[in-house]
Amino acid sequence: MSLFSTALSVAAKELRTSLRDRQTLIYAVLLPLALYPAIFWIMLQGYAFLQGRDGATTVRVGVAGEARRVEWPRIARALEDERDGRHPGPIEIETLVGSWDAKRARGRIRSEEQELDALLLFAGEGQPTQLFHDSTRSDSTLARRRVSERLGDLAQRIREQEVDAMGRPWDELSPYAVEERDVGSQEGLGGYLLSFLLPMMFVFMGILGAFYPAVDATAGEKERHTAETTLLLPVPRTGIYLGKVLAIATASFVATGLNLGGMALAAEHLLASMPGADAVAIEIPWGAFLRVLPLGLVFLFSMSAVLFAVSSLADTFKQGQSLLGTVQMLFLFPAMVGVLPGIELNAGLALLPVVQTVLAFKAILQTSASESANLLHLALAFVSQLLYAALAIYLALRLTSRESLQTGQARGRRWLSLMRTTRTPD
Amino acid sequence: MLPQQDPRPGGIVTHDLAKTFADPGRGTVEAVHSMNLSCLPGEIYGLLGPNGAGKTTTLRMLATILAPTSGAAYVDGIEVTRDPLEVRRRIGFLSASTGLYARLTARETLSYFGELHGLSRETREKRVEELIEAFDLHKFIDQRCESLSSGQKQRISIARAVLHDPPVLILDEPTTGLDILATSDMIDFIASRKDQGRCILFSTHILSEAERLCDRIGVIYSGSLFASGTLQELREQTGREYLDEIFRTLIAEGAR
Repeated sequence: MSLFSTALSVAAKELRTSLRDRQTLIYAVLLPLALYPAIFWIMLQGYAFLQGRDGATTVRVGVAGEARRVEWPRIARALEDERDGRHPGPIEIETLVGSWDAKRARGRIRSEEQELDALLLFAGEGQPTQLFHDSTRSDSTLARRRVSERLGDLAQRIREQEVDAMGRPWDELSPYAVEERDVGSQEGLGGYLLSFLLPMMFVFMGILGAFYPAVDATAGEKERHTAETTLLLPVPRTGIYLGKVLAIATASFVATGLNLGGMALAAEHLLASMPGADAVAIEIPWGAFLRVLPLGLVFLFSMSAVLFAVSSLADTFKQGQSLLGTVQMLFLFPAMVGVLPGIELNAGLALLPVVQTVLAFKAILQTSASESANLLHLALAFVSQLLYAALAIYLALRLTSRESLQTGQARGRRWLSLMRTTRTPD
Repeated sequence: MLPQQDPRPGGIVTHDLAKTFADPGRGTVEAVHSMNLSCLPGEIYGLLGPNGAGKTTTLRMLATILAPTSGAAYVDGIEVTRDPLEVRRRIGFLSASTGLYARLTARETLSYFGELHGLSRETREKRVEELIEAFDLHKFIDQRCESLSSGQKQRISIARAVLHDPPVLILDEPTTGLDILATSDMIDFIASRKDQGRCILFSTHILSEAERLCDRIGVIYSGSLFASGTLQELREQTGREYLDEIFRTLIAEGAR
């Protein structure tokens, strides 16, 4: 059998056994198909619940100081109009008698009884009115929002009435007006937002998909005493190891595709029903997915080779999980750095492993169909990723062919010294 | 320079075979040294020794799982380091550490091995059916290996080892962990392969097995082969009647 057909046969068998493993199934298939829609649905329900609860909550606001000013009845009416504004809901007003200053007002709001959620302190003529609240209490924060909003609206109405009474047009009092115009399309904004989320999720999901198959194909085989069975196959061992890497990469690719697809579909259909969602169009960037596919595949292959090599150092499944738990950070941290705002793909970053993949994905997502991202940087990222993949596979094959890994004598050895130990006959 | 092919075709021959390990804790460990043994076609050779004597290391070198440090070993005329692939095509290897893929069915396991032994789909399907008949695997052939009893697993393992009808069988303590019935099946299997003219090298520390099955016995201790011959030759060499006495005498002489 040729090396390639050996690798394919081994990969097919590894995938078959992996997909019969409960943990792999949960992380690769069940999670994307069921969990993301469920998470988004729970988020929506939670959001709706909080909105409903806020609207039904009565907040108590104390009014103190110069509250008997002439405008007070108007203010009280504005505060009690619970249908008004973005934070509707009832406000119960309690008039506080006596002499009040800031210290007393603060003490009242912070008192343990918490019978008031906010306190409006009207100062003397020419002094600003103060609104006391406690931002560590949700009801107090709600009271602040309602009072500020309703008083702000009232102040605007008064200004407009007074300008009308003077018989002058309102815009005459404004020396200049600024109106914001966002020229970005809804789709563009959606793409921009996704460009921060998807590249990082791509790396996360890739690792999640490769994690269990990698441990299963290496340490799991040793634990189940099938590693030696595999070594007895009359095919080049390089083909066997390549097949295992191929199976891990395929599992990772399938898991990543299902995860991203599941997440994107859930986001598209469920997030659209959230308030404010009309400003952003979340569309599944299928085109960007296709354009990033070659780079993504190479990345998943090299990541799988690294996970395969490291987990082959372990003798048990538990050891393998523990080793990979640390190694996955080598991928996750650069991925997180890559999606930070302001960090863009350039010639230097195109050479950095993991970062270059994330930045290239981000660049492709942020580029609309009519434009093209910097092709030179993308090509550089692809070529460097290809070289890293070749290096990762070479090192993985060199390492896993060490005899000491088969005889349990790898423990306590450094990687470099392992590389100098005897190889198993191919 | 070692000859590429052993002058004698078939069987197993080793010349000064040695294996050392570099152990981080113990330094250099000589697991096997200057091992010279031969097992001919149609012969059962028993490698007898206590745990840690070097039996498994020797058999793993012959099966190309480990590379010899020095010396040479020929399997069916092929030197193990020169053409390990061809050696693996010609051996059936069975040990406690050659388990079955838990999540494949017995049929899938056999088919997978057939595929990687280069058998066409038609040939391997036919061969699997033959093995089902020969080892009476009907009842559990389509069950996952993880759900099989130890006796059933052992039968599948044997079927896996002889799927490609190898001229040489290497069995490392093949009855360890088996119940009485499965042990009896294994002994019958070894005897039947001998009748078919195969070369069978097996290691054991169970004296009765060696006494019953082996044409020749090699006593191995601390990585060295102390004695080798038929039971009668070993009796004459040591002046003892029973194998346990022969074994202890040889070990005691070797230790001196």
